[in-house]
Amino acid sequence: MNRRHLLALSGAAAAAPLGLAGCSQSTQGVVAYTSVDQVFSEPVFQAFERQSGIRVRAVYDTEETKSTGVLNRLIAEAQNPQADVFWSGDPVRPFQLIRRNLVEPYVSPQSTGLPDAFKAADGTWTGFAARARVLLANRKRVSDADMPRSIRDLAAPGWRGQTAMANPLFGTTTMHVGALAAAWGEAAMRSFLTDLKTNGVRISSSNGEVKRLVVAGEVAFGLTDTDDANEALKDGANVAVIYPDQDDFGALVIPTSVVMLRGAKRTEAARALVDYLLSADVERQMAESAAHMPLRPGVPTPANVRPVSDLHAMQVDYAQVSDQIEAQQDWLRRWGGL
Amino acid sequence: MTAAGGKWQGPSVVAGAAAVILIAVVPPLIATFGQVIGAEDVLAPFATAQLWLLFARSLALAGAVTALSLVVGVPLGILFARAHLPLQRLLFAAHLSILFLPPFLPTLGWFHVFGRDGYLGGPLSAAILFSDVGLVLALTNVLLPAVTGLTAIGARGIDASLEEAARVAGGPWRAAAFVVVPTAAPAIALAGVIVFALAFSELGVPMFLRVDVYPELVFSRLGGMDFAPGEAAALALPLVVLAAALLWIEQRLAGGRAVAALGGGGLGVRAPLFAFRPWMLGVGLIAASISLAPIAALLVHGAERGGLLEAGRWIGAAPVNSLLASSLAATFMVMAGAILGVSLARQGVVGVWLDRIAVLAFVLPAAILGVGIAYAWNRPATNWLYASVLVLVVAYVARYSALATRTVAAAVAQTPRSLDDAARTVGAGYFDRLRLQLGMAPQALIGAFALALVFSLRDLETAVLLYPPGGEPLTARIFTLEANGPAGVVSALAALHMLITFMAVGLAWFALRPRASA
Repeated sequence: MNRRHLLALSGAAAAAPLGLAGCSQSTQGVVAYTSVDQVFSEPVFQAFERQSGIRVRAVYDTEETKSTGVLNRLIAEAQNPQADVFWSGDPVRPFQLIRRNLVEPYVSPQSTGLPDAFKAADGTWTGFAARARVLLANRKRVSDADMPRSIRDLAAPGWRGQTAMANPLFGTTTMHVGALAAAWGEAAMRSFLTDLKTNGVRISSSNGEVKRLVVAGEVAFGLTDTDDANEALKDGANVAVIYPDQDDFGALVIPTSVVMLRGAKRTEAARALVDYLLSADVERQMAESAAHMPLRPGVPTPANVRPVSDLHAMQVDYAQVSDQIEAQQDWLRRWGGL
Repeated sequence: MTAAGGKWQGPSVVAGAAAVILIAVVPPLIATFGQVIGAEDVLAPFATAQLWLLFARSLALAGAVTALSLVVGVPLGILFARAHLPLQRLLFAAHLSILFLPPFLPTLGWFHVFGRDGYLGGPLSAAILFSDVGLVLALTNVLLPAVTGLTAIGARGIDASLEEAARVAGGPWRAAAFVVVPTAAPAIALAGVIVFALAFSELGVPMFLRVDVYPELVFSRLGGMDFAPGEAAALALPLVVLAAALLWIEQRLAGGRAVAALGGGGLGVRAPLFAFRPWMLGVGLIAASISLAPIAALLVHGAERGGLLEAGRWIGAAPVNSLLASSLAATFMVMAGAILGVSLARQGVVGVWLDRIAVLAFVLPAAILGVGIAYAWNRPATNWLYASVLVLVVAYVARYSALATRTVAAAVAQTPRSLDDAARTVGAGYFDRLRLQLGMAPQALIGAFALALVFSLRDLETAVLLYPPGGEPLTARIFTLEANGPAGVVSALAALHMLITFMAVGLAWFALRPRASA
């Protein structure tokens, strides 16, 4: 390497960033962060792009950090917000942003058809297309007679070491634990989780991982989400999907939710995207592609999707669940050995 | 150039190179560890035995991976480097190929093979896979080629006359045991340090196999609901001590030098040390097969589910994003590494201290560095960088610059310092002496660029925290699609990722290879 080479390389290396940075300065389009699986959310963004002509520049979550990776990125970027819209896989993460004053309230005209239980009156968050927490059982390992009916079966001695659930520090399992704490009380929830540990429940890295373990027969059954269960069914896996606790406290229903972010640089485009996400058309798309249950009455659902009205759902206050999630973090980390 | 101007040539260029590393590494480290100051009770976890048990457990697991990799990789590296072996380059490339992938993907491949319902699986194999033993084997599988590769470079770089003398006196086995291995020991030590650092900081594979490790403890403060970067940074403090320990160990094994010498002058054609034996081909085939087997399992699994054909629909601009960020980062790393590597090899203060900082960034969990970069660069004044692909360039340079600098340094350290002194005596300028030293280690820049490129391309854990909206690299796309994506797509994209890496490294070699006229 001589001086000429070094200068030429330096020039090229210095010029490239300027060009790339210039390309990045676009204020066009809309920036959306989402914790909804990319395989489901990207086609929705693409449909929006085709319909509106507005380009969506998206950031997606990985399965392992689902719901919290992108959320924490939003918090870390609070001093100079990059995102305009956050499409969350659940309704409790938005409360973390609301508490930090990172949300710009927006009551979308599209939200009028959605039930009040799944949206905030002040427009800070609006829920739509929901999943439910379900038990997924491997039919080769579990006979029809022995099918679990409750999440409490995860702690049943007869299934010791044969069940799985995702790490409750991440993803929808966090919300499930928070919902149990809100519904049962902190002591009962902690006792239940301690029983799970005693019973050798395998703690996997994600709900998708639970699905993989059940499908592969590594465990007899596990706790996961309807979209993961639906993927197993679509792959032809020999599994059964059980909506738990239908005779008791019900199954947890988890709507996805959308929020506009404070400091959004592309406000009009952001509103257009929020309006689109809350449309009946997106609920239909999510039902067809991801087995999400439409919350808006009258949206047709495929045969494999159980209407939310047919389900005995847990009665939860999502704000309270969010509080519980924060309150239980230290204990959950100790429970998990971290 | 005047004499006064010539006097400042060296310091100016070194300062420029140092600035590249400092700008990439220091602001995120300050931003991250600055969080410790404002946080409450961040040191409280250190009072619990549980934390130290987890730390010890991670040390033991990383130590086991390193030991196994060295036991298998050193003989294998010598075999590939110094034996007459049919299809040698092909087998060696196949063996190295697994190093191009993020470790999680081959582990997923092994799951398809040895999981309970895997192609060769059953309850016993599944129990082994999801255990400490499974973790050690899975990580060894992925990191072994680092030992093989560096041992091969070290073994090919030794003085041919020494090897010849030993062979005449005691045959090839004695020559290998008493000349090749000891002479390549510094390179082997460097490989051991790299494998240990990568094994210790790995997060994806232990999480998948449900083995608790210390980096998960750090990650739980960044990926969980209560985002606590101060606590995470505090928990990373023992890793500063670990980085210092690794540097000390390496220095001891490298004979007191700041960096191990890899060689490079002896890479020309020479007679093989070992004549061909059929069993050698068998060993080569096994080495290639254990790297290719998990990748093949991924592909077969994907093909069975018909997802391979869907890959085109999901690929997007990810390969372009990956190549753009990685090649730019590798260029910066090699430019800085060529200058700082020479300084490090000659035990220059600037080179030695920048190397220590860069090694710390290499050992730290990626999430710590990623969050530090967000805090340091996400400001209105630097939005041009943070909101573009340049943020990935900064992240890659911060995380992997140690590899490029050390590759150059290790090669230059093998060359005689007397030549540089002689050139200085006759009044050669800085650039002439730089050219002289790098010219004596012709593979150094190729090696540095290839390593920097490969590690940038395979990076997942930093990129996934920072990629600009709409600009995700291929590794991030593979992992975000892994959640409920068509089964074959992940496999197909993983195969594509390997192909792109091979092509990029091949192109780099073609562009940077020493020419007869040089």
